[in-house]
Amino acid sequence: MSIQRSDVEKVAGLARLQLGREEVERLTRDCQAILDYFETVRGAEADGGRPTRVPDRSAPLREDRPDSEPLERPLEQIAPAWREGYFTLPRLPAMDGNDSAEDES
Amino acid sequence: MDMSELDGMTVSALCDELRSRRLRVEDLLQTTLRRIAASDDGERPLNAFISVAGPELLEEAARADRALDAGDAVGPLAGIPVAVKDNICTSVLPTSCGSKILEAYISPYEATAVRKLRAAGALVVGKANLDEFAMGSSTENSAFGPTRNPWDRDRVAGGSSGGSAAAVAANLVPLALGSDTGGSVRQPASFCGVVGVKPTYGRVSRYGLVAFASSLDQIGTFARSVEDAARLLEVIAGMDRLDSTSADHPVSRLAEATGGGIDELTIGIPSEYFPDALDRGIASLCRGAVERLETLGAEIREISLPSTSYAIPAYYLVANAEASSNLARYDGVRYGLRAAGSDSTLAVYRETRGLGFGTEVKRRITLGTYGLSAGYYDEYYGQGQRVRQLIAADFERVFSAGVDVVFTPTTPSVAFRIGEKAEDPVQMYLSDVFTVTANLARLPAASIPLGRVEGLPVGGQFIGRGFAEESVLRAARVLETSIAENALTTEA
Repeated sequence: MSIQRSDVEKVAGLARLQLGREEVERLTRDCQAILDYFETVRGAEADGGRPTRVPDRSAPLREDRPDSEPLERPLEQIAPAWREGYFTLPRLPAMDGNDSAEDES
Repeated sequence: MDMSELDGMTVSALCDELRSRRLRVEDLLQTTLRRIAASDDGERPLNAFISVAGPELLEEAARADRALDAGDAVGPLAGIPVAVKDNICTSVLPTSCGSKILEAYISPYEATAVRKLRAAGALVVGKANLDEFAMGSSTENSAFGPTRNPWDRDRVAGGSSGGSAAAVAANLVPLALGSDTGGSVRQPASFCGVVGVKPTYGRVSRYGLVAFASSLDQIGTFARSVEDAARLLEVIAGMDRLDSTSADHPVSRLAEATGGGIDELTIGIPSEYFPDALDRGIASLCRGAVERLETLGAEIREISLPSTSYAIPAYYLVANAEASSNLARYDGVRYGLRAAGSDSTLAVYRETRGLGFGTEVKRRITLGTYGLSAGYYDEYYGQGQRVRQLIAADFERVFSAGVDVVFTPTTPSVAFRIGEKAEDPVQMYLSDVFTVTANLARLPAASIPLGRVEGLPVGGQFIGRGFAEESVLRAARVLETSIAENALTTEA
């Protein structure tokens, strides 16, 4: 599998990760080396070791009733921006058709 | 009492001193805080802690002294200073995860393990340094600088729980909590010459442990003896309704249970963990340990765990995918850093994450997102999960054939130099080659010091059946006692 700069840029977009030009170059190089090494994992099934069952435990369910753990400090103390009981952000792109609006809402 | 007597003292001895009032909690705490400060003096600071407790803890210590003076019933760790890895939430001290993105974050809730520690009377003296979000094997990936190895300050302490391991090894605290996703308790324990225990997945609640790879993460314990590590595990273990993956499995008195012999144990020695290329000094110490275990009554059996060579890629395929999903929550909206001046919601996400995460975290998010993206899911994440089942099946087969505990080296090398592997991520990943299997198979494991090679500590690892911590700890303690007795005889 060959990794190009464009692959890293696309994945960074999906992961909402802003990367500088040098970071993209370094990540392209590193990811190529790491994925080349990961190719060795394909030998596992070639060795005939196909797993026959999945022994994972399923998580137990709690009783279906409302419950909450009280917080030791209010959320506004840890929020980067907070107004009248809400976290605030620049306007969502869906609200005005673009992603450059500046109003906090 | 003379505070130099505290060096190397076990927790039970410390508890005796505190209860007899020969030692006061306030004096012990003041000494601990002074030692932590002194460990950061000079050009090569130990840097084991990211944050250290302030005056509020002195009040807690004074309360503990008053209770002990009055002869009141106190918890099993009353007055004992404990370090907590900085990815485990505390509601007084910050929880940074070694990351700029959470630099000033103080959690609005406390992890269950920390709540249990405090209920047992322990004093949380500080938050220990770690690789950012526990991603690393050297603690060099911390945004707050690397933790240095107390045995040689030009070398790494291991990781990701390097601060916890170094704090115990340097006699700053007798106990510490860490987290182990692929060896992050056992590998630094090995590099720093202390005991590190990773319990069975589900044994300790993960509530309040900041998630890295949720199907692999588990809180573990550091101490200077197996008994102390068991004592701490006993306090934090147990089912928790706040973590649906915590197991409803009885918690025995682990410290007491480690007291027995090993004549009824069959110990498996897997050939795959002793490759020809293994460091000769490490191989020699491990072979010596195997001979010792046999002399002490265990049946030794050569075994094979054939899928071992696929463990590192399988581990990183699974862990990176889970990490990329877990770390999506750091977007600058509800807590932590928000990049200044971003002019849209998307820009807040992108710029905050670009600014807040370090190189290794970005690498893993990129690889994990790639492995989960359309068209690659089965090829990468699916493949990792299938190989994980093979590795678990290897262990199941040897345990079904009568092996109780598996013994291996903990690491393929001693602590490496700071910067030595920083530019080669694959080499860095390979330092976890003997530890990731226990996480993939969800098994309990412990590393104990076997001796030293060229002046640096070497660890040996025991891996047991799920929820059979007792067997793992018993074998580890018997070997630890034998090594200590031999050292005394040699000195004499």
